[in-house]
Amino acid sequence: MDQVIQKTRARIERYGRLHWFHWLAVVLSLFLTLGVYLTVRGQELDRADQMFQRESSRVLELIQERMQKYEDALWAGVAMHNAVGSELELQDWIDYTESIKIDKKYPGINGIGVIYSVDRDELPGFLGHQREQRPDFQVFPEHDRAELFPIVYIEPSGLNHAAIGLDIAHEQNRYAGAVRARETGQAQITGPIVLVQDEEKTPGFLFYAPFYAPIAESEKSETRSSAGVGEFQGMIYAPFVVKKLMEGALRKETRHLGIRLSDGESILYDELKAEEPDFDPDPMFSYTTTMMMYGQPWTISVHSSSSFRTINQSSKPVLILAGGLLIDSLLLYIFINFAHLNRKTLWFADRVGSELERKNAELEEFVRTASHDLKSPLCTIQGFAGLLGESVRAGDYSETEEFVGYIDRGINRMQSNIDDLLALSRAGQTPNNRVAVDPSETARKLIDDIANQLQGCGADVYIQPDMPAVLCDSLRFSQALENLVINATKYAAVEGQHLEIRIVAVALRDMVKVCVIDNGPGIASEQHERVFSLFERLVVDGEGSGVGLAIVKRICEVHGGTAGVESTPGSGAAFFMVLPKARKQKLAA
Amino acid sequence: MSQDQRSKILVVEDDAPHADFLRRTLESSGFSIEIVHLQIGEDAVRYLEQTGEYAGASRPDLVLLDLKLPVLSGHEVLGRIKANPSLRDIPIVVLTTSASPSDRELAYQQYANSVLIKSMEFVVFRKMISDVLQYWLGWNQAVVKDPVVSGQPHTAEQTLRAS
Repeated sequence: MDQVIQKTRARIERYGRLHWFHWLAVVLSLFLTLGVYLTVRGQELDRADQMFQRESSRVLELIQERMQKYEDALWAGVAMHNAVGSELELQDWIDYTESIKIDKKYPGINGIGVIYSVDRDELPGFLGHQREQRPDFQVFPEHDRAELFPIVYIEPSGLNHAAIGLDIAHEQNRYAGAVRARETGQAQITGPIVLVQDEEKTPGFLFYAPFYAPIAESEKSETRSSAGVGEFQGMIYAPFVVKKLMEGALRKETRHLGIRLSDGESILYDELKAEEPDFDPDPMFSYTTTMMMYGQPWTISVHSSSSFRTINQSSKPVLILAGGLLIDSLLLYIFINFAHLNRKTLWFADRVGSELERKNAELEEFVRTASHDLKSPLCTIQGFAGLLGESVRAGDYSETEEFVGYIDRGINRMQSNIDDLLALSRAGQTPNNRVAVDPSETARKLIDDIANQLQGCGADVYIQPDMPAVLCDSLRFSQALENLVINATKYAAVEGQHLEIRIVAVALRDMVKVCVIDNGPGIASEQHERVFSLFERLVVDGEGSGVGLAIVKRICEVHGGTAGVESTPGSGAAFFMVLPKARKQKLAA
Repeated sequence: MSQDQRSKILVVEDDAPHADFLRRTLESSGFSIEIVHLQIGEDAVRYLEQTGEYAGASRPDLVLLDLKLPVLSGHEVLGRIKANPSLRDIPIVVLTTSASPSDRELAYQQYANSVLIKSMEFVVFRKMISDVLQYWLGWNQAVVKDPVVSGQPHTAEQTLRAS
């Protein structure tokens, strides 16, 4: 049995600590949490990346698509010009531009116009021809080049009035773009310029589509040397304010990206600045590409915006991480708590064990004492019975009466000892009827009950009238108090001295000390503990059996209190009981 | 036999009826003895120390001591006698009803010469007392009359075994 207990104890003790497998479980769980977190976060980032890729390539496509659409409009103008020939009138152009509904279909451009190529020496004739319809037509500004590229028509004219007559050869970027268009025969754009008709003076460019004079079949083989076409006549063109182009092509509300458009070093369009409402100073993604856009190297930078971040900033990975960590913490908490509980269980078991040991020792001591005091008279009875038997057998009856007397007294003593033991046993039962008891009232009743005994020894009893109430079994308290008073009458009475007994009480913190004080001979300090032991008496052949004080002590102990004595030999003794104090309750005597 | 040859036994026993029985048992043992009975341990110590009212008391040849005594217990009496150099060679035989090993061990630790558990059987008890006397006093006196207990004269060895 001991081995089983020891083994179980060792096992509980082992579980009172955290072991490697507990930590392993916690660490594995942490790794799992971290793994899931990283996976989900990776997935979320992938998703965001895909979204960015999709949106940014859409932006590039849209810009290209839009430019292509304008190019088509320009080539349509060229076709229109070629169909009419050199006699293109203003009204023809107005009709054409109205037919293509610039403001609705081509929201990015300011207008669409016609530029002619004029040699300097042909200028007077050209001006004369133009002034037939528009007398105030001017070509401006002056410059030194031999060829001139004046804008003849631009519609809608209201917006673009300032551009009519402008010779685009006056400025390098416009001129270079025009020359490039002429030489390649393809649609081309200029480098960055500021349009004369743009009051805000924001960056812009011109988009040219060149047209050439038709050539006769006979001349074809000779003239198709460089461009493979006839003489360069001019260009259909469209002026762009980049801002308008971008706003027309790419509505900000439908995307979650910021765009910067540059031509070489010059920034044409810029959303990547703090003033932009959707600007993200630390974008999740960015992408930069340079592409040839109708002869100009355009660099397009795309950054994800703050609305992109809002859309893609999923709380899922963080929630998973937080949830996982919470579960891990709970796991650790449970392990720690479990270990703590085991330690507590062990502590409790040890405490109960030592308490049991103490009780066992007490019980052993009780059995030892009880057996001695039961055996002692038995030994005498047996002895005298033996002597009686011998004398009767020898026919000697002289001492028979004496022997029988001894036997009789021995039996009585045994009976009384057994009664005392039973009384002690009853006193030791757990009290389950605890009430607030008034010691003063109990003492008064008690004194009435044993008045005869008190008179017999001539004792005076003083009872403190207002003793604090105690919480206990009223019958047992009464019994304990009686034992103390009887004890005083038995052992404190001295011949020639008037016995005085005082029953008083004092309240301690949450206990009450009830004292029975006598003016007897007192008790030496080394006997103070012993007088409360079972069958202990301080006198020989006295009246008592030596169980009264043991009962008092036992009654106090089962109520959670103590009993003791304070005395100096020669100046009386104060036997006291310390019992729990009663709260304000109905008092029982 | 002269008065001087009688062995003196001090019986320390608080229970008067039992002391009377013990006295009768001792007297029937066939040894020439003088019995002094004291009920209180303190008195026994003073008797042996020959102080107070016992100033002229003669030294006993054997002490039969009960353990359960009021005020001064048997253990305390034993301790005080054995602590006194002039008294420690007086043989003290503890007679007790207690079967507790701790009582016995303590008594031996206090240099009790013998610790005997009183037998409940009259015949055995008388034999035990007779053995004790034979062992502790036998060297000093011959058996003056046939002991009530029949059998061979006792040897020291037998008595030891009995204890």
